[in-house]
Amino acid sequence: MHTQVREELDSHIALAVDHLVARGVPRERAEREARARFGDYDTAVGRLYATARERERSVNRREMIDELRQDTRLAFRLFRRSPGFFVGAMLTLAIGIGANGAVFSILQSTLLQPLPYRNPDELVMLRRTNVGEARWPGMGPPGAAGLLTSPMVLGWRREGTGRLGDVATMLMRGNSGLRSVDTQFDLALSDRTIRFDGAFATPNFFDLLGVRAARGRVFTNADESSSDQLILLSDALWRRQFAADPGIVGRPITLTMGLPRVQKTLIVAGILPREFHFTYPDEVEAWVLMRWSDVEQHSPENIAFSAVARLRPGVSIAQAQHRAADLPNGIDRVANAPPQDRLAIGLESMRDWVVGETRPSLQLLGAVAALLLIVTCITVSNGLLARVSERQQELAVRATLGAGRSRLLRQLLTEGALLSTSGALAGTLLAIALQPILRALLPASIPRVGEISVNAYIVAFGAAMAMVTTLLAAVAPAWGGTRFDPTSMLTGAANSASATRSTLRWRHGLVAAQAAIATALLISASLLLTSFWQLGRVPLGFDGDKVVTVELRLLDSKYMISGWMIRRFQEDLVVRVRAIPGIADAGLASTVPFLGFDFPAAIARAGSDKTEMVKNRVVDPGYFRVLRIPPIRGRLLSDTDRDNMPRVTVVSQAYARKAFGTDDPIGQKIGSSPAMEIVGVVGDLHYAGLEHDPTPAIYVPMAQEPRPLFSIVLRTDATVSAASVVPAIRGAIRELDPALPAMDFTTIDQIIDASVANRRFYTVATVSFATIALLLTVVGLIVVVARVVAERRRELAIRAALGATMSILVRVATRDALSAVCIGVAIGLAGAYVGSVVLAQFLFHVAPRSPATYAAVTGLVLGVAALAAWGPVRRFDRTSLAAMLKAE
Amino acid sequence: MKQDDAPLPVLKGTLDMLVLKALSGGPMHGFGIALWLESRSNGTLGLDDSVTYQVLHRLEGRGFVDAQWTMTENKRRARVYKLTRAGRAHLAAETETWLRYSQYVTAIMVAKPGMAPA
Repeated sequence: MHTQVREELDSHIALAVDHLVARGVPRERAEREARARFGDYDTAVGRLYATARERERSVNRREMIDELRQDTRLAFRLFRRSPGFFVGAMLTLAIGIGANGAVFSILQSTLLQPLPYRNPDELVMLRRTNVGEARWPGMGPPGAAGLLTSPMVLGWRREGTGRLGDVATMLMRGNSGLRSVDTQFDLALSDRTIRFDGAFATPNFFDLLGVRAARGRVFTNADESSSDQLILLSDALWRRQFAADPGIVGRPITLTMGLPRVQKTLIVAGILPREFHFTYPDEVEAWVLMRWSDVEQHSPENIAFSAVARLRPGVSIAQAQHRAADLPNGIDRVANAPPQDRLAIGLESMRDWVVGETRPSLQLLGAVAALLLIVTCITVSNGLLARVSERQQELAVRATLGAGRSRLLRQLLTEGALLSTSGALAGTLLAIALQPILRALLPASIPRVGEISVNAYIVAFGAAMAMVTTLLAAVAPAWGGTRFDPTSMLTGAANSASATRSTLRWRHGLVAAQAAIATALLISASLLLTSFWQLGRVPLGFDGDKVVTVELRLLDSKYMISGWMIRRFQEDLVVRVRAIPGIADAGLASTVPFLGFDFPAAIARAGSDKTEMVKNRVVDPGYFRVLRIPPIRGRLLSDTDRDNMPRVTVVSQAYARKAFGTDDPIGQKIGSSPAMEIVGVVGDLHYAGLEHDPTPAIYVPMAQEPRPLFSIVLRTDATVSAASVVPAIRGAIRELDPALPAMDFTTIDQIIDASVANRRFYTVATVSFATIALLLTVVGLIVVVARVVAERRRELAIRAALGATMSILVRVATRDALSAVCIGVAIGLAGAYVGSVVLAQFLFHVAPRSPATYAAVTGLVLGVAALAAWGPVRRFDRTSLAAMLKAE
Repeated sequence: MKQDDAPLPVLKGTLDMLVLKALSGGPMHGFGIALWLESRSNGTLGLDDSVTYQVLHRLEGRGFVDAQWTMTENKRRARVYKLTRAGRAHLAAETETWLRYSQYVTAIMVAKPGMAPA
């Protein structure tokens, strides 16, 4: 360019000189004049050069855009010619990306997204453990997780704050399922009383977390010295019960709380933000101020407190754990205990505390979804590879017409990009559409479900997946597709041997990979499915079908006077409920299966010191009838077992076996003050969950040991729905005691269903993903075999002409592909074998390396593969092969 | 130099038009265009020759002229420029705009102050 410019300018000077010389000007003077007229030569050169360069660049840009437009148009034309492939590939990508996007959104909000607090990694929850566990985690005796005593939290506050960090203390509902009386607040409305979960917190709690009020203010350290009774309401409670009235801030409300129940007037200091959830899944609806001075007045033996601390920057949890072991812990609960067993403070990161036990199943979900995505990428790659070998002729023509290798590569990449972008778009839309469905299906046990939403993360993730699939899908075919020799392509037959072979080898490899992943997924899926089925076969020991239950707590002081008030309430209630039309029978129990707290007790046979741990369940005679629990020996509890009658009990089979062996327990006495006579034995009930073996239990008559905390269980008539009787039951309760709130009504089968909801969710997900993976493998296999058959047409035709039977032809055509599948299945089996260690935690009553499962899955995959491979070959029957030979 | 002998500054944009006009009579190389402009303007356009080439290259970039290397009669290599169809159209449009513009401006400038518009 530069030289051209100079040339032109030099030619101008020469012409100008000639012109002047022709006019008679001496040459030397002419040259000087010509240059003078021209102006500054070098500047001109520079300027013209710059202009030329700019022009060149814009031309290049236009060329590139033109090429891109051409490539895109070509790609569209290609896809329109075979819409089936395009749609199929796009759908495949969409499924993989959509499933991943949906799963990822769950993982993101539950596991990955930071908790909505300031610097959440510095937060730890305190729990009760022992010195051994604290000093040498994992090496000391296992500590009982749980709540803390007041000396423990006060000890940290006094001596640990400087070295470890601030601590805040709370009284909240524990995770044991037992709703602590202290944290249930009653609010009197015009027509009824509602009860909700509350909690107490020290003044620095919200500041420590970094939470600010949505309205009003949160507690501050200044509140320690004031005398106001303050309360903070959750956003949900504020909207539900106070109609989102902004004027409530600063006004007093009256709640009934504590034991004995008293009325308290509290001033609403503020409303908490909607995103604030400290406990999962059940939300604390109100926070009451608890001053440190109140904490100090608590009995030092009372284990009631939760606590959260913010570690100083630079202090790791391990370091803090170690130092926390040295903090004073107040009175040792067990005297003469070895030093390791002494109480100490244990730490758990906030994230672990929130995610808890759902982490493994979420990780399983993530792994399965990732595998599915890989399978979809492989399928699409395979499909694109197939098309490249079909189009080798066209590519060869373009190569000879002057398209460079990079140009062809770019074209293939454009096609790949087009496909994966549309696939990713469809996938993102699918993920967005799946969101509300997923949210409804998710078990409530997964924390932060409410925070799952479509956000930029999903879109960004979809875009990232599009890029990855572009690379995967386009590179392989582009790489395979441009390794050819154009001339041989044009002159020779469609099968340029070397190119086809390398492409085919790649594709067989991909099929093997697909088969491996599908096998591993199928094994996992069948094991999970078997576990789920086994769980369903567990005999409950009772019939919970159509049994409605509701929990009641008689907390009012009038019930505290004597057991007689409780008994009378219960008897009246049972009579009234039984009278409701639609209700077949009713009973009472201190705790309901799968729900509530099964009270443990230590019981010894009369005259012996040896105690057994049992579950102490207080029930009435109706309980056995409603749950249809038959007696195995002796009798059940009856109405004659009243307060003034001898103390009796019915025991479970497990206890009878443990305490009495083969002796007949009927007539024996157990327990003391008073001792109870065993009058009957019943079967074992699954109370704690289908996965746990039943524990020994004894059943004591409610009339003889009235409990203020109990549930009513009732069975409706066959045609009556549970929901229809609820208002009548509420009415009956209200008639007896208008100030008594009834907690949520539910049915036992709902409870059992909820207990397996988590397992059901990830089992269904894994089975779905495994099935899709298998389908995709089959598709990939069919495509590959069809290609093989097409490319080895002549060979097959020759063999057919030489008398080969159909089965031989099939074998020849499918041998490579099927051996690829076999290799894949073998790899998949090996992978499942190794991975079974991880999978074991999800399984129930099925061996993680169950040979039956492995064999069944192997048979399934190979059988399906053989069937699929046979298809394309079948279409090539002998007559058409012979005809082909003749045509050639 | 006397006032009216000083070279007139060329208004921006008009030089493109002038060069296109120069080519309207037929293809010319850069030197020829420079000579043409000088003779037509009676030497009042005091332009460096190099400016001509900037204009020509710009016009070439916009597609108004095409250029080709040829041999002159004196056996010199020269790059000869030719008007394209687009260039011809552009020249016609610019000419009309210029004539109308200069007419109005002249009318305003020669009017005596205070006189009503004609």
